[in-house]
Parts: sequence; C-alpha cells; structure tokens
Amino acid sequence: MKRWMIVSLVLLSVLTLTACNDNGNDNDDDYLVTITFWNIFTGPDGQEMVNMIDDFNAENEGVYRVNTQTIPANDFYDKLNTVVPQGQGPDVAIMHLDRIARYAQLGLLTSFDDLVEDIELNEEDYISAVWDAGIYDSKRYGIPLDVHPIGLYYNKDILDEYDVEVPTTTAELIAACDILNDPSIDQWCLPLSNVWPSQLLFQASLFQHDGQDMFTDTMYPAYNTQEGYDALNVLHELIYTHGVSPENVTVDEDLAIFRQGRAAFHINGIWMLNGIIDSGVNFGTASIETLFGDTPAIWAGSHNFVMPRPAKVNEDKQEAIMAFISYVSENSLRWANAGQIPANLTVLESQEYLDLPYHSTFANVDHIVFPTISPYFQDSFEPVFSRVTEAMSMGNADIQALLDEAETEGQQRVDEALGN
Amino acid sequence: MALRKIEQRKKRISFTILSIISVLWIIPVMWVISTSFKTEQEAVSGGINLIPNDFTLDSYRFIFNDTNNNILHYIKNSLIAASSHTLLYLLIASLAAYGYAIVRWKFRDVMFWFLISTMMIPNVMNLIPLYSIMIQFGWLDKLQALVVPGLGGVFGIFLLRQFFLGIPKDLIESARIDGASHIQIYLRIVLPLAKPALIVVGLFSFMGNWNDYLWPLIVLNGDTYRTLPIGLALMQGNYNIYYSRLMAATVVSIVPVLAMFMVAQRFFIRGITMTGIKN
Amino acid sequence: MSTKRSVTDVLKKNAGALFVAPHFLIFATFFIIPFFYGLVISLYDWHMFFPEMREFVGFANFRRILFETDHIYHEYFINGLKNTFTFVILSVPFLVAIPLMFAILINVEPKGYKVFRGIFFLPSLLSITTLVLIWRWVLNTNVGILNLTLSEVGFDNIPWLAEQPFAWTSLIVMTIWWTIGGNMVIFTASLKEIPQSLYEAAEVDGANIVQKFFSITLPGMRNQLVYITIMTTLASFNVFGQPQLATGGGPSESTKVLMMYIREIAFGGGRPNPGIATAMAICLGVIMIFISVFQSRVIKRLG
Repeated sequence: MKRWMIVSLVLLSVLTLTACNDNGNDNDDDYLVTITFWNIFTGPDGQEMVNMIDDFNAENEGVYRVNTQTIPANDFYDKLNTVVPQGQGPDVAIMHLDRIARYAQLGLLTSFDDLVEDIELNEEDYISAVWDAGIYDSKRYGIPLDVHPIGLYYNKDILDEYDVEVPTTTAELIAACDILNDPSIDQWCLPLSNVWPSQLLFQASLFQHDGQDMFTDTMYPAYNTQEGYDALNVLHELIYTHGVSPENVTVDEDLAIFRQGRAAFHINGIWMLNGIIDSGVNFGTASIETLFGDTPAIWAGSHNFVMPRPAKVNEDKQEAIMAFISYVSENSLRWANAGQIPANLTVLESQEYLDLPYHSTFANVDHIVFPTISPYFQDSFEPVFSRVTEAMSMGNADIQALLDEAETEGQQRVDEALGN
Repeated sequence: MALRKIEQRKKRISFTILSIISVLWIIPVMWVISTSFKTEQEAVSGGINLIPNDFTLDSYRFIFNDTNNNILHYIKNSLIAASSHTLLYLLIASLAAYGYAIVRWKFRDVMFWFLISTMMIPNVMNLIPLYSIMIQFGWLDKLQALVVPGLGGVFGIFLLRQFFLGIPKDLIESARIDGASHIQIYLRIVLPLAKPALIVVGLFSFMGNWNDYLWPLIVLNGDTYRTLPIGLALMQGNYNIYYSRLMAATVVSIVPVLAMFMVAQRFFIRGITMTGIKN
Repeated sequence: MSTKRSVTDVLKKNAGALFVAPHFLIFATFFIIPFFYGLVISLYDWHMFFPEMREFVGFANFRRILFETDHIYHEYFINGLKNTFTFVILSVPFLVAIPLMFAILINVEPKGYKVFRGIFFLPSLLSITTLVLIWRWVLNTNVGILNLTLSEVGFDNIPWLAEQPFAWTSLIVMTIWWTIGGNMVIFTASLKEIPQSLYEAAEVDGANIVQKFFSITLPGMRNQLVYITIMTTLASFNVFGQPQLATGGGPSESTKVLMMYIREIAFGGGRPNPGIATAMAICLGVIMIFISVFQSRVIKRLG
C-alpha cells in the first residue's frame, strides 16, 4: 500500500517540475510573422487544406508561416466561445456562413474592411451571392472560401435500364418515380430522410416557391404563407401521396440506400461527393433548382475566412492573414477535390474545373440562394425544422397547424432574443 | 457434501442465465469489431453479417500509419495523463474519505454534504471560469491542465466514504486505544481492507480521464499533449463517415481500459472478513 | 520542548480537517469558483462576451422559468423538466436492479465469470457517439437488425426512434446497456465485503434465497446503495447525449430533456442567455438535492 503512495508523490513532483518546461516553438523566430489558423476540416477532406498550407509556407519561407490546427466541427464553436473572449483565439479561422452574423454582432470578429483593398479582392472575383453574404451591418466579416450547395445524385445504371431522363421539375420527378419505384425488388426512386438534410430541402423548396424565410425588419418567421405551405406540402406528398420514398427514413439511411445501389436518386450536399464516389455506384450529378417549385433556387452553405477579435491588433499579422487568404483563394481548384465548390470565379471558369466530372453539373451557382443573414436566424427559423420532420414522418400531418406552431414559437424566441 | 451440490447447481443456473443474456448483450459490440475488419465498401453497404466477407486490416493500418495524426503518440499521452491523474486521485480521495468517514470532527458532515450538493448542480458554464484559471496558472496546453482540475472530483470520496463506513467501528476504536495515530490506522487498517473499493475508484477515475474529450479539446492547442479521443476524432471527416475506420478507432480506444479491467478483476476477491483482525 | 508538543497536538486535534484539506484545496480552486460563478450568473441578465452589458436582475430569471406561464422559457423549462423526470422514473429502477442482479449472478462464480463481467462492463467504455451509432444501426426502422429480425417472425417495422412509446423505450434500453457496467462493478465490490459466514448461518437456519437477499445482502450493501441510488439518479437527471443524438428530442419534443434546453439557451440563438440557463440548472440541482436526501433517509430506515 505504501508503495503506490510513494509513486504518487514522486509523480506529483515530477509533474510540477517537468511540466514547467517551455516546449519551445520550433524556429518561429526565423519567420517574420507567424499566424495561427483554426479550421474544421478533419479527416481525409482536410488533407487538401493541409497541403495548401504546407505549400504556402514553403513559398513564403522566412516571411510568413501559418500554424494550423484542426478542430472537429461539432465542438469548434464551443471552443471558440470559450477562448476568443479571453484573447486566446486564432488569428484567422474558418466559419460557417450562417454563424458570421451572430459572432459579428457579439463583437467577436474583426472586420476585413480596410484590408480587402490591399490585396485586390473584390466582388468580381467571387460568386456574387456569397460575396454579399459575408457582410453584416455594412461591414465585411467574411471572405468566402467555398460554397457547398445541395444537388441531385442519380444512379446512371438504373436510369439507363428504365430509359428515364433526369427530372428537373416536380412533375417530371413524379413521372420518373412511377417508373423507377419498385419496392418489390427493394428499389426506391428518391428516399427522403425526415431529419437531416430535410431542413435543407425545405429551405430549397421554400425559395423555389418564391417564399421567404424571415422578415428582415421584424426578424419574425416569414414562411407561414401559401408559399410556405406549398413548399412543405410538396415534400409531404412526395412521400405519402406519390410514394417516392419509404416511410420513416432517418439520417444517413437515405444515403445508405443510394450507396447500396437501391435508389435512383439522392439529394445531398456536394460534401458527400467523395463518399458517393467511394461507394462504387455509377452516378451523375444534376441541379435541383426547380425540382420542388418554379423559381430556380438552390440552398447552399459556405465556409468563410474570419478574423476572431484578437487581444491586441497586430498589423503584421493582418498582412500575413490577407496573403494567406488570397493564396488559398487563387489555388482553390484543389479545394474542389475535397467535395466543395470554390467561391472564386476565376477558378470556376477555368478549364480544369469544368473538366471535373461531377462539379459543374451539380449546381448552377447563379441560382444559389443563401438563407437570410441575421443573428436571429436560428431563433426565427429553427423551430420549423422539427415540424418539417413531423410533416415528413406522419401520413396524416396537418401542415397548416405545424406551420402555425412553428411560427408562434419562432416569434416568441425572436421576442426573447430582441428583448421585446 | 449437500452444500457442495447446492453450490454447483447455483453455478449452473447462473451460467445458463448469464450466457443467454450476454450473447444478446454482446451483439452490438460484435458489430463494432466486425465492421472494423471490413472493407469500407462492405461496411457502408450495411449488411448485417457479423463475419466480414472480405477480412481486411486496412482500417487499422490507416489509423496507425496516418502521418498527420500519430496515434501511438496520442495513446502515450492519454496513458500518462490518465495514470498520473488516477494515482494522485486515489491518494487524495482516500485521505479525504478517511477524514469524512472515520475521524470525528466538528464540521465533518456539513462539509461532506456541501461537497455532495455542489455535485448536484449541473455545471453549464464551468468551462469559462476553468479556462480562465488555466490561463492564470499558465497551464494552457500543458499536462497539468489534464491531470489536476479533475482531482477535485467528489465521486471517489463519496464512494470510498461509503465503503469506509462499513469497517467495524471497534476495529478502529481498539487501534486508537492502543495509541495508533490516524495516519497509521489509515495506512495499516483502512486501506488494506478497502482494496476492492480502491480498485473501483481507480478504474472509474482512469476511465473518466481516458475518455475525456471536451476539456482536453478546449485546453490543448497543439499536438504535444493531445489525447487519444481527440486524435481519433480528427481522423473522421465531417460528413463522410468511414464506418470501418471509425469502428477500428473505437476498438483502439477501448482495448487498453478493457485490458486494465480484466486485470483488475483479480482484486475482486472475497474481502478478509472484518471480524477478528489483530494488529 | 513545549512548542514541539503543541504542534503535534494541533495536528492531532485537527486530524479530520487535515485529511480532507488536500482535496478541499483543489476542490475550492476548480469546483467552488465555477460553482459560485454559475450562481452569480443566474442572478443576472448575463451577456456572454460584453461585461458592460450585464444587468443584475435578482431572482427575475427564476420567476420567469417557474411562474411566467406564457413565456417561452417557462414552457421550455416545464417540458424539459417533465421529460427529464420521465426518464429518471423509468430508468433508475432498472439501472439499479439490473446491475445488482448481474453482480449477484456473477458472484456465484460460474464458469467464465470474469468473461461475463467483462462483457457487461464493455459498453461503458464506449463514447456517446459510438453508442448512438450502434443503436441507430440496431433500431433503424427500415434496415435495422431488430426490425429485420422481428419481420422474420411476422412483425411490422416498428419506428423505434420516431414514435412513442418506442422512443422512450429505446432511450432507456440503450442507457441501461451503456451504463450498468459501473454500478455492477460497485455492487460486486460491496458483495465481497459481506461475510460469507452470515450466509452460512442463515442457510443453517433454513432461509431461502429471497430471505437471504432481503435480510443479509441488501442491509449489508446499505452504504453502497446510498451511493448508487444517489449517483444513478444524478446521472439520469443530467441525461443529455442519448436524447440529443438518438432522437433529437423528438418525436415532437417529447424526449427533449431539460439539459438539452439548458445547453441551447446558454449558447444558441441570436442572444444566448446564460442567466436563464443557469437558473434552470440550479432549479434542477435543488430538486436533486431534495431527492438525494430523501433517498438516503429511506435507505437508512430500511436497514
């Protein structure tokens, strides 16, 4: 018994003594400026980013150095929330577009306004929707890296076998499914998950019906309208009236069915591209821009560069940050290989990009519609997501009642957030 | 003789019941293990076969060969952090439990229930002040941040106190009358008798530290002290789940603690009966 | 001469305090400070990032969640509390009885008992994400092995995670599978402390299994039972990962437990409200304290 106590005491002293040692940064004094960059690109997807950073460091040896840290996406914002207010945040980071307004309003981000001119980045270089979306309160807080829209994956073998063309409207989809749906051989037309990514499909459908997600003056939900009703009803009817999908499909099950070659169509983001390539299915991609309604609209998210508020502003670091951002932007063709669509127009118009087999057909970037950029988007719009799930998981769902419920809750949450 | 037969019958009945339950119990774990040995294509295809059609070590090779994430380094870090934490905690918690269970002093019970009560309130916001303390102590990105804060945990004290309460009071009393100091009683009587309890606390303490994910994620920045759960999470993409690799990662993170548990079972021996111990 | 004696005397007089001091020092630094931090926040309209915007509101947060019936935070609090209570009431009895049963069966030491123990303990080593991944695979409505097996014997597909009462059932079963390892180990250790001679004497007197259980085993484990019931109840009150990841709080927020609301309110939305969130947490804590005191009294009385 006494032995492990002695061991503990020895350990305790060893701990306190050795851990006081400074680790010593490796050769950072050789560089003019070192900046820290935090991103969420874990796993194989992140490899491209790591390569780009290594190349940037090699090209700027002795001048700039980027130290990167990858943090799993699910916990990234928890970490930011904890460290940025205490001055321990990174110099530059990746943030999802829909979070920027909130973090900007909370005062946790530094604006790019003065710096953008220095490196000749302007709206002509980028897809206009995503360039505009990085602005909050007339200041620029985000510089886009990519856009990731949702689109249609289709099984070429199944379509060829039944001689069906890729549908572009709801009517065409229903007609195609009449032919392609065959539960007896366990073959489905378009399995639809009633949880993720149903929220994204609903938003796309809403915009395709010319609906609106939230009012920018009151911040209240704006989807409890005829357009919103139609938008949700389309999804409900696809499952329960037209039977294009099995019932009660949950997250990743729709993906699994497609990957197993038992579905003709699958709707998901471009981020799933590599996963579907790996499945071995012979597939193609197409846009969903009028699949639910008449107005062309595609839901997309976007990864942006942001600058968390530092403890002290450092102009040298800002120079390095801008150099890094423009480097990555110019080379973002490589980023396409990670299952993303680069936001840089020059890249999008290049022959190498157009030659990529799946990217250019996936979405018409001119029809990308982002959700309203507002710190209150989550409060106003999020309550509808659980109702979308209900509408898509219950055959006798009362769509109007669900929208009413969601709107009420959204209004209450907005009131609370605005301090009404 | 009759007693023997009853013993045998008990064992047979128990064996039967346990076998049936454990077969069902282990199926999900078998899926984890079997998926880790499947090719990614087979893992994705969602088949329910427990035996891989195409046995492969690819996923394990990926984990151990990933140049961006040195898995062995992370395992080492986790071992160091968890072991130091556990040893220190056993020391501190057993001392405190002795103070709350055996020694009679004025504020003993008030203090003890204060400790328990603070445990009851979910600590929603505690990351922020804890992080701030780490900054002030200069422990950001250091080993102390992984080892020390958890030493304030109350569960071990609670558990050990309950076990210490079961030690016959006359044992302690007679030792006191013989002039033994509390430290001597602690070392020579209480600790030896509480071995199984200490093993349990040690096991839980090790597991808690080994599996801790969010705190090391927040408090560590670089690779130097990075622990296993974080390292494994970094190997996963955000959307493209590589099931086979994910399961292999799970197996890798379970094996050390499971091995420890199987070894620790040696100490779950029938305790020396409390009556009639002479010092 | 006299000073030396008085130092040892002081040490001896305050032996209790000295034994608990090392832990208490660490506890004070790393637990009490955040604890009071949380208490203070609950009395404020607390802005996470801008100290100058924080406003002292006294007990307004508590009044709001407890009494303002048309306010959305009150609705969230009541729904969350209701669901958390449901989970506690449904789960705790199983989480105490089942590991006890396993511990007793294994204590008989049949062949391979160490392996059995390992098997029941294994799930507790898994992370929450792995747990939910596994159980979503088992419980998937269309392709899960449970429904596939059931359909072989003629049952329809049951939506285990999408409809009540299956959603609660699933959450409880997966929690049992995941967590009983810990309690089983503690019961095992405490069973070992009960002298074999007591059982032998009882058998001589002709006691059967049930009588032995209630008059020897249970009383012999009284101290550890206090620990286990309090800690298991505490864990169930704090449940978060399983409903969050497996059912998402659904269907229709019927499994959305209080911890889920607390986290959302503390960190989410256009204006995170840590004041309300901590007030909810404190209310939950106070309830737990009362229940724990009650539980420990009941167990002591049963002894």
